[in-house]
Amino acid sequence: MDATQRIDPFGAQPTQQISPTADRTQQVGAGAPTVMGAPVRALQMECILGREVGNAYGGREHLLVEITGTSTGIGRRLPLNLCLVIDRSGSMEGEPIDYVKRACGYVVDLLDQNDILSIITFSDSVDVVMPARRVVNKTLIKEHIQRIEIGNTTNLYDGMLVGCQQVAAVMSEQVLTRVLVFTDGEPTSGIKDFASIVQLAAEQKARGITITVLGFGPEFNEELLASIARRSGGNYYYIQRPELIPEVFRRELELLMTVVAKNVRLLLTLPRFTQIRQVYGAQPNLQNRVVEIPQVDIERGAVVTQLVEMELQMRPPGRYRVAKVALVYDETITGRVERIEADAVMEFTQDVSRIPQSINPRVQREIEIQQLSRNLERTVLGLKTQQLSAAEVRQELERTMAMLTRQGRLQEAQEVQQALAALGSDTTVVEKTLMGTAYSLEVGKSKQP
Amino acid sequence: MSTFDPHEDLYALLEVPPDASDDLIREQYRKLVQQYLWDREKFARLNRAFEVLSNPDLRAEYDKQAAIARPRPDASALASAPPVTSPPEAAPTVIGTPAQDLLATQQIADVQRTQMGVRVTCPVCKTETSTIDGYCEECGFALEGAEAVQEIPSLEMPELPALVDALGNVYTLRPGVNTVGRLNADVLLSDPSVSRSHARIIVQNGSVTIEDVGSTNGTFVNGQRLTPQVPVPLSDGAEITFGGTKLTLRMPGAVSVAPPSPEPVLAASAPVTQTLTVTAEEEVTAGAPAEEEEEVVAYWCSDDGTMRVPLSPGMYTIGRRPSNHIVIPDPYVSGNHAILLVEPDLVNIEDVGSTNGTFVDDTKLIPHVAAPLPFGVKVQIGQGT
Repeated sequence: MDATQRIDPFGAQPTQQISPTADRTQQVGAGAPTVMGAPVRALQMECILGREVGNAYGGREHLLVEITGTSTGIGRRLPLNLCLVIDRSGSMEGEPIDYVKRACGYVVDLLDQNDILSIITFSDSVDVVMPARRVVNKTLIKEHIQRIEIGNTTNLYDGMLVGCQQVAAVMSEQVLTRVLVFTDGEPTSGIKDFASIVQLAAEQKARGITITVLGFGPEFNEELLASIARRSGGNYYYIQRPELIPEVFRRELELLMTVVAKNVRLLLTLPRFTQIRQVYGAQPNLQNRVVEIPQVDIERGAVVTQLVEMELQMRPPGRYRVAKVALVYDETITGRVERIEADAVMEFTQDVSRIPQSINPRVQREIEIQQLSRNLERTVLGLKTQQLSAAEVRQELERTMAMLTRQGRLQEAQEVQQALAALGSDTTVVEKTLMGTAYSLEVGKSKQP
Repeated sequence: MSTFDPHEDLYALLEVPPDASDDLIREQYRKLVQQYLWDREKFARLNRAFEVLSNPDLRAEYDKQAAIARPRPDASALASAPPVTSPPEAAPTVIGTPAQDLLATQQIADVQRTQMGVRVTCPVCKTETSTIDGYCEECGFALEGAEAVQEIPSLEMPELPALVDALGNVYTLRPGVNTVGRLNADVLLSDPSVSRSHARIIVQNGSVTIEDVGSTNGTFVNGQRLTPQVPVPLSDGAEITFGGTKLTLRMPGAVSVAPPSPEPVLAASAPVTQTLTVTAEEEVTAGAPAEEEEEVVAYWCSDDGTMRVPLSPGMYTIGRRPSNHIVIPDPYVSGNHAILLVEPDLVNIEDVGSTNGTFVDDTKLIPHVAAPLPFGVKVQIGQGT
């Protein structure tokens, strides 16, 4: 049934050309078959509908798209175009800045001469420690890193802007671009307002630049950083203690080095009778009945889910394709733009007894997870504004942890547990941890089980 | 399938000169592939072209073969789509083929045509579509095969009121309470000036009322701001503004929504109450017709011979109410049941939303979709499913 189709790109549609390497080895014009063994695809897509039978009089249904990054090792990786944007405001003095310097050193060690690195620091104003260039003289780069000095205030906006300018100057299809922004406090100088900073992230995203945020310590604004990550399609990290800083940088680098698909987007072509009611955890673009939903970069072995709620209108009974789903992405290994398609098909009937009561469990699970994410954010807000008592928050979090464990989201369950442990002693830990948890649930990324 | 067709101009497809560098080819490929994301066919062709032209061996081979297959000066390399003079051999059923992609030769056109499948008319939405996907491009209906354009049963039920916006989005209003707002609402509006819980619209017995539930930016009906918690009735065409979003109310036809005398809805095996046939007739006025006299296209005859209505070009309403042109005093016929659209050489019939439906040759009509009515065909009005 089309609802749970696993896409075989070499199946029924010879017009759908994809194969990279297979054709090259053929004799030209020899009439050899199109396919000579299926090459490794970076991504696989599965489309699942809440129900496969719907009400001809109309109704609502969910569509879940699950995108999986291949777990096959490829050997090569895409060169990086990385910028480290480091906060050196007064509060970073001592251990924090020492560990950050160490972390930057680790990053330099992990990169090779095909990668491009730039390092920016900001306090009141912005310093270019290293302009964007290939990582050739590692010793020299590390020397420059050591010379970073403590400043005064936190001008996050300018830091972000200059960092993005650095990577933009050398950006191309041949590199994977990412800006890492590390900060330990609220923006205190330059453009400080929430909306403008998030808007900057949105503008950079439109140019193809993704920002990952690393928040350190108890003082940074987790709502601001989470919003930047959300708009940008990047990651959110909360680092509690300075000695953990290098490890987190390393983790992000590891992810970047295993990205198999970038510039990933889902295109839903909607026929008559179908409207989109909600797109969970993403900012869609609608144009001429095609909804474009950008996705995060996908690493090897990662699973990304996109949940969509459709409004289905009244129609004559029969079988219908309710959406044509296309996944388009840049495959990092070949550098090629690839496309996978699937049909979401339902049967519509006037006989309500044929319509199943419950919906597909996988879809149900994703709906619950999205609900959990929203509840978590509301809980954090309730805690901050003290509209919820500590007891209420505890109860909510315990329930959330149980549900996450049941759903198999162990990473997130563990984070909630950490938050629970800190409840009553350090609410900043609770807020900052849970903001990250809510965000990662919303984005729908997890590791392949 | 061979890797390339030397008759196809791959350089033109990528919009590069034949002596383009690898960088330029790559750059153009990426640029075009972005532009044609929605166009599956073009996307595939771009990928094929790039595969050939980005590989030095393949490119050389292609150039060699192309020079033989298409000997012509390179200066005339096509840039963008040349004007399409006529679609290649339009099949008789095709009306208004969408403009084909740029095609270098007729050979490519033939290949394209077979790859595109056969064009048929979708029985649901009546638009032209290709069968290659297996589904109608317009409404998604599953097309069984190239030839099977079978009739499908239509829905029997009253049409529901709906709110329509400027973009054509339709928000159907179901009987009962419909919440309007930005979060978890029946009518979900993503405009930030709309409150999370903005208003309620109640549909009951064919009447529609609206009530603002205390929104920040207000609810306006035809320019007048509503007092919160005070319900206000709405009629067809009312313009309702929620914050910054304007919607228009569309009410269904005046049929079975609030009938003064409700028609009973029949169970499955109900007797036929009336059968009418349309028969073609010669013009009533032989000889020179006067200007005022319109020629009769057909006659609407009842089975028992009691009724015989001449039909001239124009519209004839059919229903139970005396205000109709053709009155059928049968309780199973709706007040306004159907209309006949008579043209000089053919007759169309359209069900205007009757309760019990209109059947042409034992097939039920989709409400509000005009269907041609061949002469001598049985029309059943006043029969249940």
